[in-house]
Amino acid sequence: MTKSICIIDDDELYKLLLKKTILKLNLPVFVTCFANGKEAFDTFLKEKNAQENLPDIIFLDINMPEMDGWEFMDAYLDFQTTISKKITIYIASSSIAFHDIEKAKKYTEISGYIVKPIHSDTINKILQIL
Amino acid sequence: MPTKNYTYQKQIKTNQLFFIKMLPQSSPSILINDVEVKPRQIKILLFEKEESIKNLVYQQLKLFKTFTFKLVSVTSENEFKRQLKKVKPNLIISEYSLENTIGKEALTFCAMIYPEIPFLFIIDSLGKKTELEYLNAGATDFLLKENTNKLPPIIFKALRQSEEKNTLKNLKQKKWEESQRFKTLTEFSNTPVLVYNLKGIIQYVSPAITQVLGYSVQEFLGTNVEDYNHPEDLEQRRSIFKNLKKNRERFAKIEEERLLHKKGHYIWVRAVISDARLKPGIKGFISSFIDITERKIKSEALESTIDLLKEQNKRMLNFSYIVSHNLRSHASNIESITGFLETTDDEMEKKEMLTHLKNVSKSLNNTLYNLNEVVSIQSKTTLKVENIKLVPYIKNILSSMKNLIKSTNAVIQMEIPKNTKVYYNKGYLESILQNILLNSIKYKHPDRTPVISISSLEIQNFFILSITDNGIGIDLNKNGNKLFGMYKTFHGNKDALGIGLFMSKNQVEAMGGKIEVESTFGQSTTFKIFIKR
Repeated sequence: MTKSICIIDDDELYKLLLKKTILKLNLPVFVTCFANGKEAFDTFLKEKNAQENLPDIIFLDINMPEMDGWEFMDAYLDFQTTISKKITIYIASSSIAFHDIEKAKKYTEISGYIVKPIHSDTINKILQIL
Repeated sequence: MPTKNYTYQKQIKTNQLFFIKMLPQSSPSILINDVEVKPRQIKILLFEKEESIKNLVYQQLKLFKTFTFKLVSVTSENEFKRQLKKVKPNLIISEYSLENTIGKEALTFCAMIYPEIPFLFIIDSLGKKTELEYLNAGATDFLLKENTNKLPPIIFKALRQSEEKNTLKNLKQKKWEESQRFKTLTEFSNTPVLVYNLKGIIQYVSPAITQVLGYSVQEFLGTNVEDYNHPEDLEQRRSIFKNLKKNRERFAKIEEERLLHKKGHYIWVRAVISDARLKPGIKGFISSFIDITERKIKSEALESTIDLLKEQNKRMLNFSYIVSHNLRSHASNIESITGFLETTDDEMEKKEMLTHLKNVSKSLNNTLYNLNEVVSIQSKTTLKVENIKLVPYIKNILSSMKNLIKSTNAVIQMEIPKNTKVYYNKGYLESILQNILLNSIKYKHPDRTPVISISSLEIQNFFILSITDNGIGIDLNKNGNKLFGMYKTFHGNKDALGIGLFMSKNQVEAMGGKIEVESTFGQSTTFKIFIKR
């Protein structure tokens, strides 16, 4: 079954490279990209009644304009109660700041904190445990 | 009557003790009323030529049992003077001659150097006029030759009187010294002491007031203590004073308050007020205070240093976060690109990756440049500052933006007094103003012509430059904490870099000021630049 991966990040080059990395694995995976939390969240709200369109995995950046990673998480916590689909969220940030990593641990909905770049091995592992 | 008996016994005891006190330390001990005392030797200087009288005196002295006598007999005036100084007698007995004045001279000499030594005269007969004259000169008593058997009581009396005189003299001396000491304590000390009544009217003030507050004692007397308080400290003083009166405490402390110096400035003092309304001689409140201005200034300087350090530390943390985040994001992209370059054989892909690499290196360069700017702003300890005439200076900045202003039809309103000057670094002020003005136009409301007003305000330590626009506004609840952060953009504007306000904030802070923002979302935004005066 095709898995859907969603990248939420304002760094265009990073998104392009990550998308390429994922597609090169030649797995049944579908990739969508958003420039910030708000763009992604607005789209998710629209898909509420077509949950098959919601992603299985999200790679979420922290620093973004309009709605940053943490704000997205806070909005998502409410949204999550209205859907049945299981979405696995990973924080993918270039920040190695301790307080960001600690903050990510406080959210049980966050499955892990990945320091960029995301390697193909990591993606393989994530898809396997899904 | 037991009381009478007691009084009598007490009298005896006092008499005994009086003589015991006079006994010299060297003699063997005796016990009187269970008190161990040493018998005393009483030194007598006898100035008498007649052997018969000498013998009579000697016989009489032998009758004393409890103490001994040392009798030094002299016959000439010179001998008398010498022995007087050598022996330092407890008592002098002298002949009294009507024919010559030897006795009188001896008395005069003795009264001059040892007025406390009792001086007895043995006389042939009574001639009241001369006796009065001698008494006046310092004689203690007279004894008739035929009455030498009365010598012991006369000696007792003389010694006792001399002792009482001495005690009284010592007591007076002590009292005088004590009152002098307390007077000196307040008058000579550099801590002002004042006494005032319930209404606060000053009734006494020590001369130190001149040293500390500049007023003369005369100027200070009769005024009210509250006249000297800083208006902001008055409430504190009143409430402390009220509690002192109400709680019947002995004293109250005022940790710090400001008092008006004669020259017009305020000094910081720590004061203590004592309630001495029931104390005789005072009947009011005693207050003393010490000048703590210097300490206060030092502690204020220390506090501001701590604030500065805190602020610097915060900036350091922020900076390390920026470095961690921004440099790493480029590094991670480079890592991905090199990964692709290593694994691909596709020439097209290689080419694409090289293009990406070029772009990354360009942005990395930009980031490094910006970070370097921040470091240089934050680490500059000596900035060139100069007097800037604000109105022409801002007009100059506006003329450099005239194309943008023209194309947006922006209206700029200058509300700054014509001759306003600020002391600032020129480059920083230009960059700060340009940045804020550009933002005001860039984030204009789509339905309105941009109107930007520039005004100024002076408060205590700062000159405030305000720039208000009628643009789209900022949701400060949501984005307030990000507004001045590096690479924080929130308008979703593609060409926003998130560097301008971050730089402005750093520049303003490097000049010892601060930057504040007020905004109504959808209506207007005001930036306030605080310039230290």
